[in-house]
Amino acid sequence: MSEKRVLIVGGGLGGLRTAEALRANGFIGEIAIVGDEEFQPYNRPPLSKAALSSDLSHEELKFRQRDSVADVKWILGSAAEKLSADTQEVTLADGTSHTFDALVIATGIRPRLLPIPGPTQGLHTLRTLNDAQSLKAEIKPGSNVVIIGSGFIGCELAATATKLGATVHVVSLDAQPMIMPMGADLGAAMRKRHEEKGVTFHLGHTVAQFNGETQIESVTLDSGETLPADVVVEAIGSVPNTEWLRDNGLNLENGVLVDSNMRAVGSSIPIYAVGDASNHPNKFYGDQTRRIEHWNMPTETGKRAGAALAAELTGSELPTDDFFALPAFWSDQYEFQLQSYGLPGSASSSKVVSGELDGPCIVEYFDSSNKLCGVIGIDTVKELMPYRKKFLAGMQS
Amino acid sequence: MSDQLSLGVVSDVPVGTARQFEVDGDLIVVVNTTEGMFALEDRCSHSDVALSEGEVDGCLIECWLHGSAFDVRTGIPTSLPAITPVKTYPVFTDVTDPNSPILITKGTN
Repeated sequence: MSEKRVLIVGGGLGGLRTAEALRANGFIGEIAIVGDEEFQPYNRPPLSKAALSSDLSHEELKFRQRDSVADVKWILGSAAEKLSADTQEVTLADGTSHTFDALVIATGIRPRLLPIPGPTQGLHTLRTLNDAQSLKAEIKPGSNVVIIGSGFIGCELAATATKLGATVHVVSLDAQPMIMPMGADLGAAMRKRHEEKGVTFHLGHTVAQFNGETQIESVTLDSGETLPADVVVEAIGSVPNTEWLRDNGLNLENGVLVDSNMRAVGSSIPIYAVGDASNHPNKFYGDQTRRIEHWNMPTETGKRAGAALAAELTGSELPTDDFFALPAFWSDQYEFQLQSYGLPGSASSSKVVSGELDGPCIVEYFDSSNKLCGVIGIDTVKELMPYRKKFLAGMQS
Repeated sequence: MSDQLSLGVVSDVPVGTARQFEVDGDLIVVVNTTEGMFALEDRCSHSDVALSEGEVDGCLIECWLHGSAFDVRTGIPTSLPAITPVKTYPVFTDVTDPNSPILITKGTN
């Protein structure tokens, strides 16, 4: 039997963990990983924090790689442009084509952009190390920083820029910062913590216009208010990188729809999707499939995809058990550490069960049938451990 | 002055693994590597997480929750988000003898 070739498209954590899982499950054929950035996989959470306050190189952010993937072929610096499932090849932006026996989609997400009229110099997004380095060069003590969006990236950026001495305004259509993942009460409490550090929020508003010649000098809100701006960061969420997969019969409504093995639904050839772009079932989600952009999901989905794909390529039985992985997020803002398990963002109600919202606290979240579906703590990482155990035990039953 | 404390025996911690021991209310993780046995405070310096639940790879132990790895020989983090070292303790044992007690020095240094 000739050796099979797995092409992993996406040079982030999900691609790397899938490659490692392929090896751990006995796949000995060729693995090639395509990445649009010039870097091998690196850790992105520090990009909104340490990478803005100190000079961090790729070497310092790079993920440790197991010896088992030392022979992976890296094809870096060019994005995938077109999949042809019929001929089993992927064409890159640089014009090269790469054939495969099996494809792993790990192309993740990119920042969503708003069509705001005006100049674009001084306008940033934050997804890559290059993004962080160009942002770092511009955020200085006294800079006027306008952040559009009040999710995790917007809030972490607000905290880091404030610590660096910038004057920070956050403009967001949401009623409270981070309201989607944590609800209005904890969101409001986090807003107060930010305001105490000097951040100004413009909630329920958006930016209508960037003003200036070529460099943005100020922004005008939909309310008519104008804010001085040296640096503007768009952090209003993200879109999955799946355009290159069109016209191949894949369900791309929300990322790539896959089954519990992370194998693309409806594909006759082995195509898998992991990480931020994977719309997968999970015992924890109930009957729904979800695409979850938490740091632990590329690892969890990559492990499962690697095991299933190794089985498929060696003619073994594919795993038949449910996929289950507990979503978890954390966020460091100023000296505060937020930690969550489960899906607090899908809750109908919440209750503070320990502490107060303006100090260390634990908030439990309940779904519409009043069942615990998530928990968030501030500065209570250790105290949250029993929740993790409880959720994991619940999924195993 | 320093106290020498006994934390099980060598066979309790196979090479390539880590194990938590509780001594006087303090949690200590013992890590056995091909370069010897090491002991550290069992608490990531970024978040309050037990390192002993993490993965051992060579002389690194990686926090399972946020991904910081620490060099078990020095306690120094080799990757973010952790930036401060975790405390290490000198270990005295004979790793070639499965029944050798693992002794650590919990000094006042």
